[in-house]
Amino acid sequence: MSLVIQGGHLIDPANHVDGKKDIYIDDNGFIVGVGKSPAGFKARKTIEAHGRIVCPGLVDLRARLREPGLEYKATIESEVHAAVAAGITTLCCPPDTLPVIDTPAMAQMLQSRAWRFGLAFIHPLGALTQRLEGKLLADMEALDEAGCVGFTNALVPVTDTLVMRRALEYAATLDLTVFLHSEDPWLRNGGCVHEGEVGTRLGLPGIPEAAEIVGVARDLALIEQTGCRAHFCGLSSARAAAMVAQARKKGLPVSADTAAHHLHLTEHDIGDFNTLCHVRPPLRGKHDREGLRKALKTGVINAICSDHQPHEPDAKLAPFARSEPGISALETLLPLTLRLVDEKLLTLAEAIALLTHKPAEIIGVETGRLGVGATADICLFDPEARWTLTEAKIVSRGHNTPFLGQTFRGKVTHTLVGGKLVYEALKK
Amino acid sequence: MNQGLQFDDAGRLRHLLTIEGLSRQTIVEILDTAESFISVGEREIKKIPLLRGKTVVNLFFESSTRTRTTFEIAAKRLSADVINLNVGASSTSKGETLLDTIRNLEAMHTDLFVVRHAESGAAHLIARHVPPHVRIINAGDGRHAHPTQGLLDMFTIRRHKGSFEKLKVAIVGDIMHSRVARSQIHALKALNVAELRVVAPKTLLPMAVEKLGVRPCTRMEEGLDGVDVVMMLRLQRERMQGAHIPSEHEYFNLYGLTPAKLALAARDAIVMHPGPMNRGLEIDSAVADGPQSVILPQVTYGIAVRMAVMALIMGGASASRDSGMRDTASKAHAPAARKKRK
Repeated sequence: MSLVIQGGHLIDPANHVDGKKDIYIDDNGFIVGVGKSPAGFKARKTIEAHGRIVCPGLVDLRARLREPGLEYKATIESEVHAAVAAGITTLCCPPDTLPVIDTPAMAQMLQSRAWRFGLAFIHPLGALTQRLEGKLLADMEALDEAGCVGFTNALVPVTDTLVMRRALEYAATLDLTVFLHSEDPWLRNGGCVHEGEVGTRLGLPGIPEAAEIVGVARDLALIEQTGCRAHFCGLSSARAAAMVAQARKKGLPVSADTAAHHLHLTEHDIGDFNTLCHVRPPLRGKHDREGLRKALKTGVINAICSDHQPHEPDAKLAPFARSEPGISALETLLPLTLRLVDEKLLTLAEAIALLTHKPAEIIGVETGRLGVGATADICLFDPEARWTLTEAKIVSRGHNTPFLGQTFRGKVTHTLVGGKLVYEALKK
Repeated sequence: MNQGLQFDDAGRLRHLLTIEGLSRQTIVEILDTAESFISVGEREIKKIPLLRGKTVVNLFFESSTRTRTTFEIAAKRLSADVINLNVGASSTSKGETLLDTIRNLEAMHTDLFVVRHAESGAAHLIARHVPPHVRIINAGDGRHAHPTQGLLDMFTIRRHKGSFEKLKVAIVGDIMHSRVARSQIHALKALNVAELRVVAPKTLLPMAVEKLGVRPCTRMEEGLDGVDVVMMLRLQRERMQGAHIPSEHEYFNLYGLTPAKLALAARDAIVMHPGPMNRGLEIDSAVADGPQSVILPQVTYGIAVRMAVMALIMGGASASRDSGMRDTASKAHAPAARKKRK
């Protein structure tokens, strides 16, 4: 249905647009005009956007939807509803589902399930090694053909350095991007919190900063040798961010993201065993949070992701080390990023870029921009609306978030995917 | 930070989960109450009816002899009905969650749970999910806390040294894995000791331990120099496996408390150990059985201290103060009564 989004403030960082402009969308869901109506255009529907920010739909590089395998936690259906309610129109799913995404059939199944609901787009990340075992390479070419936008062993470390080297060489052969969760498993040693002040006070086994540093150093050495394009997922320490910055300066083809909660929380938020703050990699010290923020500001970190991990309530009702890590985070991705604007770390346009065209470029998908000819994946939000996160408001099946009860500024009002209005907030 | 969970709205101790967050005043109140209970154990009839009609469940997910037995004796001397449950690690493998185990026992109208668990934070988790009338005492959770051990150690120090303010204290051994060390540190800091050192090789010192207000030392010569109290810790024999120490022999040479090393401390220094001891690994028999050792009195005091904690926790609650309480050990619950009127 042809429509016009009228009177809003358009922010489209990829096209350097930041001002009052209307958007015209044709029957096929493509943008046919920005700022001025194309000749003969007739809108059958008008979305009134006065006082709203109009920006590309958000692109989330890491969200676990729990399907297949862990449907008691969440399903593709429940989570794509949560995504569009949060302004997210594109989701990347890590391959650590059950079974693992290491066959074209699995990759296609995920996309077709999402397609059926017609809400957010799902792009699978393929397994780097078969069954994520770190031994035999997965069929990367076939998985690429089936729609995988990157390859990763997710949180399962490839301990064999030679296998890692071959994986990067092979990915480089096919010009594919490898997503890395760099961590030395020996140094991690079953830890569950940052090895620091809070872990020492609570007597919880720690994961030293060195686990991440050693992991990143090893992988950078292999990237330098193989020339593979690589993306570092979920950096948690200031030093790791500095290493990626240096590698970039050297000209290595590396990018990086961090989860929104790592830009706000530290180990101190764990308080007295708050399992909602049990995440992996762990929340680290204040110095690390500041280092990550600096890396965001200087462009070393190219994307903010949700690292969404919905859980059933029981997963968090256990002693800290036995509770399952992860935050249900789709619905706080935009609010937490806007908080960085309120805190004067980023401009609004920079914040939106980190959630839209920059992550889209990492996965090589044509979205995250709103020029003429682009698919109309669009998010509208009221930048002034204040709201409080309560369990009743969470759309995701997972209610596991440490941000419950917090007040945010900025609320999504409309989400369009392929020109179709898929979410509209209820008016008060 | 623990204020919310350990105390009720009126500021009375509701659960004992950790010593962190307890004021000097609260600790002294517990020690004073314990002092009045010492005599109970020396009587012909070792019983007072303070917890008559109350059900105490000793819920041990991890094995223990000393702690479980002294808790049992303490509860029985207070006339409570005591049930010992050694759940072991197998219950979780049967699929029952920790909270389900607790809920089932709660349904049997338990008033107080004494809980030991291998995971740090287990007692906090339980305390967060029991109804308001149920009390929890942490008898050891992972590497986190063992508050009654910390308190009985303070009782022992006070009995032998009088006051805390001028004392130099060293805690020696596996600080990293020790819940006892963490409880001792919080207690000694709250009681304002003059100096507190922790002594261990770097492989057994936790990261950022100085943030707890202690001075880390890696050499016994530095750690024991002039101290008034030496608190030894048990070394798990499997620590060689994690590459924490090379051998028992080398550990004993460097960190075992021998008469020669004890000579570095003040002449009247006391030696403590939470037990069970590894003779010839962390401590020389000549020291363990020597004149400066107060290791066995620690066990005796443990009963009185655990009685005091139970009495204060149960007394500050809805526990009806029956007539039996007035005619026995009246001094014992004086502090509790004082608090209740506030």
